[in-house]
Amino acid sequence: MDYSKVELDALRKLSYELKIDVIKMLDKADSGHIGGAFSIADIVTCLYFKVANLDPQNPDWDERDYIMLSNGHVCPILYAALARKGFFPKEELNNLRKIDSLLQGHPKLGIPGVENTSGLLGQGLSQGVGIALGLTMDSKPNKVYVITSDGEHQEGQTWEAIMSANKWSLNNLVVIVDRNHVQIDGNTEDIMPLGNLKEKYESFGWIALDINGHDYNEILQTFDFVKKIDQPVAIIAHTIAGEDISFMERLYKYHDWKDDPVEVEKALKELQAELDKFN
Amino acid sequence: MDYLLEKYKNESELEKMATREAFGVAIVSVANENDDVVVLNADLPGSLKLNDFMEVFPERYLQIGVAEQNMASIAIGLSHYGKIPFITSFAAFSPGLNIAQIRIGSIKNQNFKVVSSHYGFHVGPDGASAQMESDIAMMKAIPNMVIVNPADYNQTKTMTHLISRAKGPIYMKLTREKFPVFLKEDAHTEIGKVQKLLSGDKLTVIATGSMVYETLQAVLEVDKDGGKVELLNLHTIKPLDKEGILESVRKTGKLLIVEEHNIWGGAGESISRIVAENHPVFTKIVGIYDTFGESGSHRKLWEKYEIDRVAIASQIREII
Repeated sequence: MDYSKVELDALRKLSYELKIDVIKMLDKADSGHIGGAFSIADIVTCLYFKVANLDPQNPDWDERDYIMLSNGHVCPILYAALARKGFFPKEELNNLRKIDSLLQGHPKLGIPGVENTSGLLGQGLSQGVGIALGLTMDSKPNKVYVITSDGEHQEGQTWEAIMSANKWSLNNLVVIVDRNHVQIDGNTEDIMPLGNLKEKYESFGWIALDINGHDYNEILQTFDFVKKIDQPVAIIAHTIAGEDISFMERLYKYHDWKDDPVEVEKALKELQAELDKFN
Repeated sequence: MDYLLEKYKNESELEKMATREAFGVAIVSVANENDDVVVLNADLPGSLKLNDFMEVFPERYLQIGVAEQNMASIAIGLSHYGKIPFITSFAAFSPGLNIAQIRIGSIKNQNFKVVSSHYGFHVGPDGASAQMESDIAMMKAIPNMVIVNPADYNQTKTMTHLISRAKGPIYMKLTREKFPVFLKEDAHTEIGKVQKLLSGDKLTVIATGSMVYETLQAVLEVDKDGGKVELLNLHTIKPLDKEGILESVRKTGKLLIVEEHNIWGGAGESISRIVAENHPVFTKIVGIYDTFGESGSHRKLWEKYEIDRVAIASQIREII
């Protein structure tokens, strides 16, 4: 089923607002990871505002779906989504990466809505397998969505986790791979080639799907489809690092961003122009 | 408090059991008491004596394969969901191979237990790589981590129950080898409190885990009439029982610490710090002197690397 333009536009508009929040957060924090935050922004928007079952007033709600961020460095987009969803006051975004503040430079349990402590790449999918196993043992229907980066598929533990999800046929586990082709020191295929991740997941017994990670209709239809699959599912989301900011797109040097006022102004202007198209 | 079995001096009359055997028995009763307890293992269930658990609770046993990092992170996920996971392997592999995963789970004090056997020289013939002289150093430096090292079979059964009820990350060390069962089954054990096994006023000896009975025999050999050497059982390495330790060294004025671990990073260093900061006294550590082991029976290794009762007795003699 195709989603209506009204519904898709509402989500698209929201994603620009979240991106504007991220630029402002990183400006106040003086630094942070932006390339991956923007490549995964559309999927984060869909997960938090359409797909997952969540209750911001009760973050530990037993019936919730679990959204986990394994590549914790892209957390500015997570925090922007959690704040807008109502997990904590939006003012907290002003204190990202600052001492005595709620929002740590990498996600930590204890921040409302955060489901895993991350920052060491390659551990999040295993933690997701753990939660999925617990749910399976108790025959509970909750879903576990684990967001991973393509770069962290260079960590061996990621493949240990992939192997184990297949062993227990975890049909409540969905991994999203942000296939943006960049990592901190260069392009993934130059640093350590990852090759065809879809085929690799399939050879480990998973259902794997290649999608355009910026096409809202495709993203939402894929999440609908995976709910019917009785196996662990990998969504390889082909994305653009730094998406929507003309001077950042696809460039690995914006993986980590030391902001400067000129770039901030330019980025905000570009995002505002996109946002204005909806008015 | 009287902790020792009546016939504790007569080694030949005491039953010999490995503490990993106690874990295998106790984890079944722990799981009977608490539905949330699950056990994860990395291809070594026989070594951890999990056969009974696997039979009674097949649905709560997770065989992870040879993947200790995955095992630790899965446990952390299970703990976030609300289970009480025990991850089990050899000390060389867990925490040896998964310290980073354990550290991440400790940041928010998540409720998971790391239970590892074959520490020190216990895997003797297998040689240095599978032995483990560094685990306390790794684990004690992680904030929030609790480390327990029970001294015999009976204490391990009690300790397995205690750690399942205590919240947060806890590391429990188990022996591969069979050692005398010398503590009473109902002896009062409290995490974080030393147990005074023998009273004395000339020297405090603190021993932990596999070294406790070995040290006891060394003390009996040197202090034949008793009353000179005070022997404390350090079943909890972190947190340290500051008051219990200081109370004893204030009385005796001298301290010997005995452990089957590298002297760099072991319990001895941490005890020495507490003593130096609060009541400095002469202190000596019997431990593995910054060397790896080699193939050989654990008894031969203890002898060669001077942590056996002969070496301990000679140190005690020299100090008093």
